[in-house]
Amino acid sequence: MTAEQAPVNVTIDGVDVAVPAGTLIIRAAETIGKYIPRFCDHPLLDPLGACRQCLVEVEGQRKPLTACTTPVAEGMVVKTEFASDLARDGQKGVLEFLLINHPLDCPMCDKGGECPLQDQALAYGPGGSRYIDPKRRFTKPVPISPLVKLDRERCVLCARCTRFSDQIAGDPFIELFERGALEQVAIFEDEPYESIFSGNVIQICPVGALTSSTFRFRARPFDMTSADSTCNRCASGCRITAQMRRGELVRLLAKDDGDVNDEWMCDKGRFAYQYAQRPERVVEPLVRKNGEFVAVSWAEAIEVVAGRITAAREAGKTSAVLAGQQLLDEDAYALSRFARTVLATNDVDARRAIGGEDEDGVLAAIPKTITATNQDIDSAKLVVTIGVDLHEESPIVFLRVRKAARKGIAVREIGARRSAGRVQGSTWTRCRPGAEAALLAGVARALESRGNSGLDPFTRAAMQGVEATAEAQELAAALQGVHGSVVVLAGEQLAAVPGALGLAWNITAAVGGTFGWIPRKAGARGAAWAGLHPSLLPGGRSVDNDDDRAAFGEVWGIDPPSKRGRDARAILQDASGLGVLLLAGVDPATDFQDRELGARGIDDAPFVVALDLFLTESSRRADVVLPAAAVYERGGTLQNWEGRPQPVRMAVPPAGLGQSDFEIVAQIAIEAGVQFPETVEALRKEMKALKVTPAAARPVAVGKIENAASGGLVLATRRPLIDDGTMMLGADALAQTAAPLFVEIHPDDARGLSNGDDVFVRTASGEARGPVRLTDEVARGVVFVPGHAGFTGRSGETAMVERAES
Amino acid sequence: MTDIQGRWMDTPLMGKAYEHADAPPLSQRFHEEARKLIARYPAGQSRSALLPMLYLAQAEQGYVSPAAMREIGDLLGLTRAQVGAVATFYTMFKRDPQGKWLVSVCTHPSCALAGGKQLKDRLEQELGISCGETAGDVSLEEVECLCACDGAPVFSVNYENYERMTVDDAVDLVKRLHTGEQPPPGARGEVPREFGPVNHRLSGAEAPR
Amino acid sequence: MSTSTLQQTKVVTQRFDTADGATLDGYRKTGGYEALKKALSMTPDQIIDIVKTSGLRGRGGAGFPTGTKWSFIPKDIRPSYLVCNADEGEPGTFKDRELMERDPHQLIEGMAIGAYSIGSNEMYIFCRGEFAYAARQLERAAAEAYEAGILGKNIMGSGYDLDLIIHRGAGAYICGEETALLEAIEGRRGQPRLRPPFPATHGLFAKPTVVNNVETFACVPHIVTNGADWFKGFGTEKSPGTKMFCLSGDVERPGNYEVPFGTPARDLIEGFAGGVKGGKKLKAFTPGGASSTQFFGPDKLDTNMDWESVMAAGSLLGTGAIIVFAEDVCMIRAALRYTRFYAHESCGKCTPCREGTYWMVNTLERFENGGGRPEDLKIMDDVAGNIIGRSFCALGDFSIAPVTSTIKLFASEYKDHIEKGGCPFDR
Repeated sequence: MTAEQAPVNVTIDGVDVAVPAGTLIIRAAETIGKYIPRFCDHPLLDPLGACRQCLVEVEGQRKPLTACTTPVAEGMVVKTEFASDLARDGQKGVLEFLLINHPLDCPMCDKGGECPLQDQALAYGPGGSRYIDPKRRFTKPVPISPLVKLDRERCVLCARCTRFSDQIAGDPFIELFERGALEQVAIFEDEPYESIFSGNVIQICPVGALTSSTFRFRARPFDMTSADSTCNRCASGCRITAQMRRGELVRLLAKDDGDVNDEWMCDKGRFAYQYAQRPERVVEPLVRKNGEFVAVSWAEAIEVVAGRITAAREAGKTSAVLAGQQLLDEDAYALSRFARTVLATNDVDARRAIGGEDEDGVLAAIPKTITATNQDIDSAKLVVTIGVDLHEESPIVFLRVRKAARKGIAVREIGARRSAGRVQGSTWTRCRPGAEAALLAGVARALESRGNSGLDPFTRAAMQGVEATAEAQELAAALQGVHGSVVVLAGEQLAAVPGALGLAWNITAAVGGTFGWIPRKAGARGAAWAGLHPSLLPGGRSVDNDDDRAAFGEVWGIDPPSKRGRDARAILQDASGLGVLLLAGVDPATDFQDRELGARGIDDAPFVVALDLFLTESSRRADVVLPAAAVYERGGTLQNWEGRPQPVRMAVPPAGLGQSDFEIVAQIAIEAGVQFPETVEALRKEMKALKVTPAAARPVAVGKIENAASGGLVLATRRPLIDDGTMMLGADALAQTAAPLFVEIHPDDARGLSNGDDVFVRTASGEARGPVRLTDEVARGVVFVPGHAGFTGRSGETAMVERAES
Repeated sequence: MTDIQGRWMDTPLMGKAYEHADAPPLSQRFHEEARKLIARYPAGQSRSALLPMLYLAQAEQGYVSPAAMREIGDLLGLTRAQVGAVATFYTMFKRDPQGKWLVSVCTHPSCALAGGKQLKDRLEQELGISCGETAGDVSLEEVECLCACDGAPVFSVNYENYERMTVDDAVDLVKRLHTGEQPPPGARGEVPREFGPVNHRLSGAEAPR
Repeated sequence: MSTSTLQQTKVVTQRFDTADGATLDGYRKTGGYEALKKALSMTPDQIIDIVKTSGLRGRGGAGFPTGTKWSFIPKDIRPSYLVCNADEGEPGTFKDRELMERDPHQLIEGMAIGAYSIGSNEMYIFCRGEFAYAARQLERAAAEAYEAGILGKNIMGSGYDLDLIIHRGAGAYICGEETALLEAIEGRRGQPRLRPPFPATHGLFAKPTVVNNVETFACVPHIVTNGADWFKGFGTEKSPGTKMFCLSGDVERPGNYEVPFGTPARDLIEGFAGGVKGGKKLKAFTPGGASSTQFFGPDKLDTNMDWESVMAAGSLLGTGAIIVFAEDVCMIRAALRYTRFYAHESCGKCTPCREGTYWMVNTLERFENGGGRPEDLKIMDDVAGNIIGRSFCALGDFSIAPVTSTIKLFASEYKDHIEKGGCPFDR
């Protein structure tokens, strides 16, 4: 052990403790259960030493020192407020100072009851105030964004919020203005605090200076019950605390989990929970009778559905399952099992867009391969993102990459548009949508000429006849020579380009890196594990593999069918020949890549059963709608993008008669005469028995890659984080923070258009209208339009941009 | 409590509630000179040009306007809040358009003992304003020690010191400024220039390097 | 300045009365830039050695040994920077301003020698924004120096490159604190930084940096020319050399007076400065400006003005700014004015200074307006006790000096204010 690594021995209040070198006194004290009061200190922020609350006495020093900025030294003897008058007086003095200008707002302040100032003033402060002069007055509260209200009188100027915004989120829209006693947190008048991470400052503010506009005056901390759960709005998998008062969800907080989300969550996860409590929720089973929905009992509904399934089977008609990607792991598994054992079909799919054979290969591989984790990002030398905008699609992973970049790792973005979030020192390789496969094939070619011997035959075949462009050369140079410390994060935009996802997977393995798949939806990885896919069975197993099927036969008692099933597109196209179409948490008429096909398929299918929270475009066309419980209303497991299973727990009872998807499916199965596990435990037992130990990555088939369309403008699109989807219902304050829609074009492609011009963007699949913004954050030859309601254009399509005549 | 600048504690959020209209965009000349200022500093340290650029904007517009802060932010890759945070920390960056002549009166004990406080009170009376306000061509402010204590009482016009004047003579000088006259030479023998050119000099745009 | 019977020892002020002392010609005529020429022929280590041996201590207030500070610069990390703290703001101090106005080349030469000795090719002068004339003098001198090849590439034919950037402050006393100064040069709010790391290793732009006061640099050419022993011949063992003392307030002849360390305060106040104005009696004086931790009464007039003696007498030499108060001055009004200064200049970062100065200002205002209470004295002492040693930087420590020393020395005036319901003094 080197000198730097050897632990350091210190004595704190007479207790000897050994801690790693570089540990701050305040952290060292925590390891022995000693809490030193603090305001500006936060373990995830750089030390500041501004509030002076954490003063301790260190033997040999004439002045008290701040425990939050002083690292331990060998043999140091520290006395905290318990053992030292100097420390105790110092802390008491600081609290007295903080209270002289602090307003007596406790009775009406949201923070009361969970307020570090209250708690610490009681424990370490003077009993009363000797101050009799006027206090500092400010107008209050002042909204600094639709979500956050600022009360400057309460602020203790700990600068946690400004440091968070600057260091962690990279959104320095709030700052400390003025000087001395006038110092205050402020924004600039026309630049509100619009950051998708703004809710975090409310949580870390140690007083009631920053409060949530949605939670304001709603509840006292001791009036709420809490459930320790996990967010399901994206695949980051933030651990959350869901809080309820009188049966109603009132607040979500981020939990502290250093392996996943540190102590952060994004505003969407934090503020968009109201959908679960909207009157639009489906609260009872609905069966269509004489063309109209009629509320029925569960018993009747289940009977109807099971009856239809049995009838279809007897008539020799296949049934199919289309699932969404926001299901919990147990639901996804239950649906997959249901399809195979009750419907006796492999016609199962959870995708909203169908990719190529490489997508099948990667989805099959993910459950049984060692894939990237947050810790891999922390310790990487290079992180490459391709086909994903982490800031919009997986914000907490974005923060993780940002944190690593601050420590000096290199970050490369490959895409048509720069990420909406700023990562220090990141380079951007421009790539038009549709050209990713060709680019990656070029990278493979360049790697080969640089002597890389890890390229597999599929990749070699794909790179035949491909020249490595300058960008491809640069990427290859960056990737090579960073063995073991490369993390490649690929998003779902990549799957739309045949061969791209497979090449990304294979190339990552060829350079000794780790691959991370960043799906847009929280349940996507769980769906892949569960085999919600026409050719896959749970655990990454294949329907056409006899051994795999036999394994299931043992666990399920029934062998799964061996014929590869139809994918979602085929199911919808041939819907009229189906027996029963089961839709579980999915809205093909809105979300499917071809929405018209989605709607038509549902209309054509003879009998449609929908498990859903709302009457969506799809579920309102169904024959039976079965109310599902929202994520806050039930328990289960949700694996995040890393494949890390995380607990979901019930915070509020289900709305109306809602039940978990797996419960519904189990009841149908049993009614249809098929034995089926009915509890979470029973399902988990089966899932555990089917678990596969992840191994090193094996190459996947890439198939034929296309050369992208050249010349002209090509559309790039992806949904923003704060969008207009169904689960944003009721999140009015949050919706106001959505970025305004712009049609973004590079100045070189402007062709006479200027900023603000009203234009149409038309592709083969859809049309959008909006004001132009000329920016160099978009690659040349690309027009970027964020996804929004009614827009069906697809990335990679040729686009025409024309002025809109008024 | 009012602070030395006569500002009441409750300052509005940056940019709000200032009654005057926002200023026009900064000129081409500003942008050219700003680029030169950035070039003085090592590569990657363009932020060092922030204080100089705030002076440059003040030279052009007579104060640091929200519009100027926006443009400067764009030039340096800073958010408006980051620029505002710096601009509001330093007292020499003004929030309101200043007159041609900024009269700064020191009231520290070395100067107070020689009549500094009386001078301040008389000037407020004569001009009909409080410190921190402007009357026509003259802006008045009370300042901290100008570090010319051997010349007490000290006041300055656009940072050109006037020393050892009687209160009456000093009031007279300022009154003449108010009526449109040019100021006489200061204690070091040089005549103060107007507020704009003085700030231009402060930016470093005229420095040898 | 008018004469007195005592003689100053003019080392750094020797050119003050020369008509053209501020021009390059005038500077050279009197031996200027010979020291730099000599230094460029020596090694950096040799120069640092001379400065160390001379015992030169920083004249900005802290009195840290200059040679030692320069020796902290690591030799293997470049670039390094030399910064002159010309943000003179300490009430009662006006020596740096006069040095820059009357002898700007001396500062440039001293800095150049310092820069060469720490391997820095870029020097900054952080000059207070309000110092219009001083800055113009510096700019004129710098232009002359560039023209004459004393600054720029290959200075004086030595092969060494050296640039000078004059960067202006914008009205913040706290920027006189060295790390706050660096923050201001970097375009940030002037709030002091956490130390460690120290500027010697992580200073300007996170590079090794030396920050020294104007007067400190002004001494350097003379030390190089005349040698360390010569310098030690003035002053005392622990405080060698000469010092400019700034006399102001109620004195007949306010001004800068350069004398050897160890000169008694009486000589400065009654001798050079002609005694209390109007023949009044002395009530109090500060040995080192408003930030002297303790004001002195007439009983301390025979204190020798050097660091160790002033400290032994209970105060700090600081910048050597002697402000004199006559018997008819209200010390509470003076304390209030100084405390308002600290409250206004407080950067706001740390709780004790920001809130404590606010509290003390309010209390003192109440005294002046007749609302003072007997318990306020104990409270203010407590408040001061909660600030000193607890604040982030020394501004907090110094902010309490006027309050605590007036409570200690002039408690009767506080009582008078209470009894008379307001201020019984005229000035």
